[in-house]
This record gives sequence, C-alpha cells and structure tokens, in this order.
Amino acid sequence: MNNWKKTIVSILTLLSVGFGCVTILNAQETWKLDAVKLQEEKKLFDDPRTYVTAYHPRHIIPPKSYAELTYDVPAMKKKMEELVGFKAQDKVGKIAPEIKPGKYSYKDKDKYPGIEKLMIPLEYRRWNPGALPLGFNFPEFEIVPTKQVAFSLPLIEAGLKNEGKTKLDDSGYILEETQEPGLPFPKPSGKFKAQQIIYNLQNSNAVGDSYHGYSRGRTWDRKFKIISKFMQEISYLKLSDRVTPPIGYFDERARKRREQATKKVKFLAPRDSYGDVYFDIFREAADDLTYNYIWLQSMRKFRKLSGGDTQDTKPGSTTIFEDGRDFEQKLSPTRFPYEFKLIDEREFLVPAYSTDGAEYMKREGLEWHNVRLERRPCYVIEAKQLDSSFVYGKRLIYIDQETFQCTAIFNFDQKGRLWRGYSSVYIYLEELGLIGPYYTANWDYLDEQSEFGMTYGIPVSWLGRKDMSIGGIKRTAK
Amino acid sequence: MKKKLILSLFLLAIMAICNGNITQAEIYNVAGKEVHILGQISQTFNYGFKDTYDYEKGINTVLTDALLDAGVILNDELHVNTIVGLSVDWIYDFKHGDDSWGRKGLNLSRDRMYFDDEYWQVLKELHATWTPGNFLFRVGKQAVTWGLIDGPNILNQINPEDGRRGETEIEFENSVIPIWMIRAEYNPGIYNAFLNDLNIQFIFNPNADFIPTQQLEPGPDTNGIFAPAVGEGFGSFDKTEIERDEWDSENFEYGLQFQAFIEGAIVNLNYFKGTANEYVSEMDMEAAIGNIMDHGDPFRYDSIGLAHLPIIVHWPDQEFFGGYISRDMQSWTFMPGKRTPILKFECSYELDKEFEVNSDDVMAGAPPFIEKDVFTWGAGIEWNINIPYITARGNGMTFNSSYITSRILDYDRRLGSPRDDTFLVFIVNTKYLSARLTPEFMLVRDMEANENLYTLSAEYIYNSSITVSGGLKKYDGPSIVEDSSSLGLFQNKNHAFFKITYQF
Repeated sequence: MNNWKKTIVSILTLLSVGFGCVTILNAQETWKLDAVKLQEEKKLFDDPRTYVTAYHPRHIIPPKSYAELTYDVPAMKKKMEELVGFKAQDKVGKIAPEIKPGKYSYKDKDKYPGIEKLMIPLEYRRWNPGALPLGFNFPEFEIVPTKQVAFSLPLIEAGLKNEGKTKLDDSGYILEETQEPGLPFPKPSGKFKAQQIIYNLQNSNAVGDSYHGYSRGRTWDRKFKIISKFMQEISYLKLSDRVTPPIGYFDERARKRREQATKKVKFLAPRDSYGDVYFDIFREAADDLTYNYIWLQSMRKFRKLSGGDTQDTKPGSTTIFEDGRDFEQKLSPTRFPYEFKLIDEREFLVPAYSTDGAEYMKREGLEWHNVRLERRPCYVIEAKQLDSSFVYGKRLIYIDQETFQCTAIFNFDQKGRLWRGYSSVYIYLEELGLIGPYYTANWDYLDEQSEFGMTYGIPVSWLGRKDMSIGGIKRTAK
Repeated sequence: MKKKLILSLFLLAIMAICNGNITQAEIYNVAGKEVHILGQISQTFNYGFKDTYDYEKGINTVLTDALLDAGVILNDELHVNTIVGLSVDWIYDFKHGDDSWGRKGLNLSRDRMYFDDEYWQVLKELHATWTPGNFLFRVGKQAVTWGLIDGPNILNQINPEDGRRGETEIEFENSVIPIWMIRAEYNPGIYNAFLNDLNIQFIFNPNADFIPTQQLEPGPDTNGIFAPAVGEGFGSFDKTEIERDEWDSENFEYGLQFQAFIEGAIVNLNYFKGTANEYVSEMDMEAAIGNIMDHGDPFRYDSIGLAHLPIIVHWPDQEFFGGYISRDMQSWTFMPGKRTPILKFECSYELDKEFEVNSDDVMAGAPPFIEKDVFTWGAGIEWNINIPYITARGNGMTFNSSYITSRILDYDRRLGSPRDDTFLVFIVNTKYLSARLTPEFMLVRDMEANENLYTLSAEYIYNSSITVSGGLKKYDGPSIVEDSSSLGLFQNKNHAFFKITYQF
C-alpha cells in the first residue's frame, strides 16, 4: 500500500474515532417508529391486528419523554368541553334515535332506513360489498358510542388563553398579526362562521408541534389493477403558534421570515422515486406561497419546485398537492378565493376515531373491515371557488364540530361534476391528545380510480432545524 | 464464460427477490437491520430508418438494463448502499454473422458495446454513509452531481459519464459513472432571516481507480451503430493512452460547494480542481510516420478496410469555479392557473483549459495543445401553464427551456474548437389520464452549426410495476458535416425507440 493510501486510511480512521466520541458524548435522546416493525405489526392488506395498541408510542418513546408528552385525561376532557363549549356525545342521538350501537350488515339496509338519514350520502353508497369500479366499500360496520375527543392539554390551554384574540378582516380573512397559538375560533359564530370553521380545520394542530411517521398506500384503476404504490417517511415541524417549547415561534428565523411549518417527505417506494425527498416550508401570509424543494435521487440533484404548481395530480395518484390534509389550500383574497357557506350543522354517522388500529383493507374486492362508525356532530360547508381557472369549482366539506378534523371532503370540477372525494379515519391517542391521520381513502370519480393510504406517526419533540434543512434532507436521502 | 456467469448470478438474484414477499413490504428485516431492496429491468429497442455506412435500417439495438438497488441501515447514523447493474445489447448476438453488420465493421465493436462486464460497470455504487450530528461522510464509489441546467454540463463535471450510446433513453445510473471518492458535508446550523440555510460540501478523489468518461468515439468498430458519422471508411482511433497514476497526489481531485437557501432560492458556489473526464489528443507522429513510410498515408487499415488514425490521448488538468441560482418567481401569477415559473442561472469559469490545435498548424510547428480560459453560462426557465382545450383537467403543460453558451477567452485561431459553442434545449410535456400518460417533445439545437435534434416521445404508467415508453429521434440540419458540427454527426441515425421497464 503506498504512502498516500496509508495516510488517507489513517486520517479516515482518526476522524471516525474522533467523531464517534463526539457523537456519543453529545447524543440527544431521539426516537422514531421502526419502519420494519411497523410493517411486521400491520400488513397493508388482510390484517385485522390492533397494531396501535401493540406498537403504541409508549413502546417507542423513552419513559421520561413520554411522561412529558402525556397528560391527565380527565383534565383534558374537562378543558376541551370548556374550549369548544360542549361534549360530542351531548350533540348526537337526535336523528334516527332508533339506530343504536351495534353491528349492522348491508343486508339490513331495509330494516334500518334511519342509517341512510344518518350517513353522508356519498358515504352511504359504500355500505355494500366490494365492487368495481371504486374501492373501499364496507359490507358491515359496528356503531360504537360517541366519545369525547380531546386535544393535548397544551393545545387546549393555549386555545383557552388566547380565545377571542384572533381576528378576521372585513372579508373574513385572518389578520395574521392577531393569530396566537391554539385553536383560532373554538366557538365559531357570526357572519364569518364558515371561514372560522375552515381556519380551525387548517390550524387545529391536532398532530402536535412535531410529528414523524410513515405512510403506505396503493392506487387502483377501475378494474382494481394497482397502478401505483408508495411508502413515505414523513417529518413535520411547526414553526409558529407552537404550544410546546419553544412556545410561539420556533426560533428567530421563523419569526422574522413568518414561517408556519416545515415538512419533509422521503419516498421509500416506488423504485423510481426511492430516495426522493420533498421539502416544504409553509409560510404564514395568505399570499405567500410555500417554498418547495425536492432532492431528486435519480439525478442526485436539489431542485426548486414551483410553489404555484399545487393543482397538479401526483403521478399515478388521485390526489393533488392542494388536497393534502384534505384541504391544505391557503385561504387568500387574491389567489383562488372561495365563497364559504355553512349549509348544515347536524350529526352524521362517520368513521370513529380509532384507538387500536384494527381497521383493515381486504385485498379481495378492496373492502374495508373492522369498520367502526360513530355519531359525530358535524359542520357541512360548501366552498364555491370564485376563480374559474382553479381545478375545482366547488368543495363540500364535512368537519367534526368538536375536533375540527375533516371527516370527508368532495370536490367538484368547474362543470359541477363530482371529481374527487376523500374520507378519513383518524387515530386517537388519548393520553397524548394526538389526533393523527390513519386511513385515508380517495376517489377520482371521473377517471374511476381509488387510492388508499395508511399512516401512523408519533410526536417527536427532538425534531429541529438540523433535521429540516439542506443537511437534514441529504442525511435523510439515500 | 465470465460474462455468462455474471449474467446468470444476476438473474438468479433478481428472480429470488421477485419471488420473495415484495408485494406488501418495501423494506425488510435482515438480522435485525432494516434493508431496502429495489430494482428494475428495462428492455429497449431502437429501429433505424436508414441504411448507411454507419447505420443499420431496422432493429439495431436490443438493450437490456438491469439495476439492483440495495441498502442496509445499521443504525440511525450509519448505512451502506449499493447499486449493481447489468447491461447487454443482444443485437450483437442477433446480428452475429450478418453480412451488412460485418461489412460495416459493426461486429468489431462487440467488445466495447455488447456486455458491460468491467467491475465498475457492474458495481455501479458501493458506499458507506455516516451522519453524526450536522455532518455527513460518504466513502466509496458514488456519484455527485453539481449544477442544475438541463443540457450540456456546466458545473456537473465531477463524475465521468457513459456516452457510448449517445441519446439513447437510459437511466441516470447508466449514464453517470460513479467513482471512488470521499464526500464530507457540514450543515452549520445557520438559520437567519437572510441566509435561511447553509450546507458545505467537500469532495476528495484520491484517484484510487482512474475511470474516464466513456466517450462517443468515431468508428463503427468501436462504437457500433452509435458512432458519429465522420466519413465512410473511417474507423476508430488507434489510441495510446497516457492514464493518470493512481494514488498519486498530483492526480488527486478536490471539490468544494457552498449551498444555501436564500429568500427561498437555491444558491450554490462551487470550486473544483482535478482532472478532466474527457481526453485531449494529438497525432501519434511516430506511428503516423511509420504508416506513411509503409503505404503513403498516416492511417492504419484493418482487414475490412477501415482507416485508423494513430493518436496519443491524455486527460488534462481541470480547474474551475462557478455557481448557480434557482428561484420560483412567486409574484408572476399572470398566467392561467396562476402557476409560477422557476428561473435558473448557472455559470462556470474554467482556468487554463487544454485545447487541441489544428493538425495543419501542428505540422507547421504549433504546439499540439494550447491552454485558454473558458467562460460558460446558462439560463433556464421552467413553467407549467394551463392551456385550455389542450391540457387535461388539473395538469398544466410544462415548458422547460435552457440556453447554454460557452466562450473561449483570448481566442487563438489555431484551436480545433470554435470560439463560441451555444446550445438551446427546449422541452415541453404534459400529463393525461390522471398523470399516467406523459407525452413530451424535446429540441436540442446547436446555434452555431444550425443543427437540431428532435425527440418526440410518450411514457405510459401501465401499472405500479410496468412503464412503457416510445418515440422518435430525428436530426435536422446541413447534410454536410462541418468541422464545427456536433449534432450533424448523427444525421444518419434517425430512429424510433421503444422501451418497457419493470420495477420491483
């Protein structure tokens, strides 16, 4: 081995030892889901196991940190009622009161006409065996008692402390300088009640100030042929209106640059996207577009994406970027403004907040099983798009009155045709006060495609700028 | 025998994985460690439209490319990745013994073009990555890409490339050649109102194994049907290569990159010192004189009458600095759909680049090489626009255009290269059928030579595993090849292509 080889090997060895020591000494306690174990605990199809209880955050998060992230449940529930003004179970049971908790089969439809009154019309059609061309029907379900669902205690307390501070302008748009941590309008009312509900939906922060998880899914065509599959690792860090330390803005940069949140999504599948990392910096001001970047593993390049390209369909998918978290589109008076109308406030029978993850998809016929439904008080909002160049002409949004999570959303094109629909099942981890995405079913009714994603994530209070940066992206990439 | 063994082992590995439980799991648990295994196999067919001295009408390429991409995560900060590949152009078997193939000398390119069995062609990447704290260290055979503009490389000069098949539709993993190097990165945690993020990259190549760019060489006997048209009867060069000594400090390469997010834009500053990936050449006077003495001209003639010019090649030093900026213009919302464009600008200043001198001037006493500085810059725009009645609901039409120009400073008329070299690249595509079908048109234009290369193609996602694509490539420009010609060297090679890819 010549002298240069020896020298280089020696330097590398010294560096390795040196950095190894530094790393060990300065290691911060971190945790995250194990993707392999996640797949072992719950397969994508034909797996009824209750993986949320088997692979609960308390098995992953170190005890000291877990204790810091959990709260007194009775206190949470009491304060949640104070925040929103009611408990969910007090607002249901009035429509079709004869429909009680229990198990129901599609064969019983004629026996229980009240169920049709209770379900969202476009969801009622799913109460059938699986059949072409659209997936995610469910032949049976169980109605479970309505339960109160509470946010984390810091989130509730922030909402109580700052109630009434967030203001809207004369057109119903939020005055960002008045917005404080917590639910902006816990008791929506008045002329702009519909807007307030939408702002609550987009600012509920129910997953917490930081989140890490995995999402797996498939897209099928009208003959139930798989046209796309994906697996993603998701990291999310809230940068403003935080309710856990650092409270408010994450750092000075977030305050000065008015950054709202940052999200990093690494693709683990399919092969041609493997190693790609999407990185977004969401900004507070209504007319400030998101900064989007992508590390393209196939080209080993960092590229800037256009913040305006949010209406494009993701390849092989039924979804567009604007439909992230069901309705991620920013409310703006200048960029695709909406006219919002609250068209109903009533209870619906919707997917229950899952506490065990027992729901599963059957590969044969793309049927849902272990489906639990719950009476939930909901707002129904019609959002009419005022700019004819937007992909949608109208959205119909069903929002839980207690948690302000979107239970279903249906989007119509500019010709008034039903185009895309989304239905969500949420995971509810009670002592953490975390309401996170779990099962999301999407449909493209015009092209007759179905897509479903299964997501599981946990709070990761150690997440910081280091992880959500150029360096963090490159360390995440393959 | 060696080739068949490699092929068999590779196919066995792929079959084993395909037969494994990959339908639900994308990652695996092997001895308690997280393992990712992915791959793809693609089959490409090219169909030529013209029968000429350097091209075959009909199917003239039957290229199989297989890639296996695997990684193991040893812990949160340490992972090892590899990509192995296999490329076989079966046309050499199908055309074995074919009169036309043999008469044109295409069969003589079998060694170089049939089966990629050099270790560095099979073992594409192998590296270990360690990410302690704000650092990243990657050691091994890897690819590092600089630059952003689509088209001729401006900053992207680190890795050699495999240009043997010219404009064939091949993946990045097959077009870029990873080399043995060390990459170190540091993210200093600077997050303020102006400089939103900063990342510093240092690369070091000790030249453990010198692998240059596999250039598109003249001569059907070396580059098969892809060889540029330099005139009937001309074969490959008889090359004497002066390679760089391995592990020699004089041949070490260093690169430094500062990458930042500033006001939402990506901004890069780059510096490189090392060795050029492409060679420069001079006539091998001794061999040429020997040929002149023998039969009156400097060429060596082979058994089928192809003329081979003897040359000496070496890989010169290279040093450049430059940078790029890319930003989306979020205030430019005046187009339908309010989609905003991305603007890009990239430049490099290369010091003392070595150029070949015209052979006539060399014969008259000029040195074979002259060094000159070169300034290259490129500007690009990428814009996704809704076009009523043309674009599908929800999808715009993407226009991606780049203008790249290079100027040799303090130009010397004796140089074999033109002073200015300018290209325009124009790509337009859109999506239909829920983004499963992507038609695309691409134009590459040599502005000085007035030559164009058109590509019309479409890609269709059949299902989650299979993608099919196909299209046409056509040259348009002067029929006489000038010294300044670039795209014109491929004027006989208009063809259709079809490719099917299976991913797993």
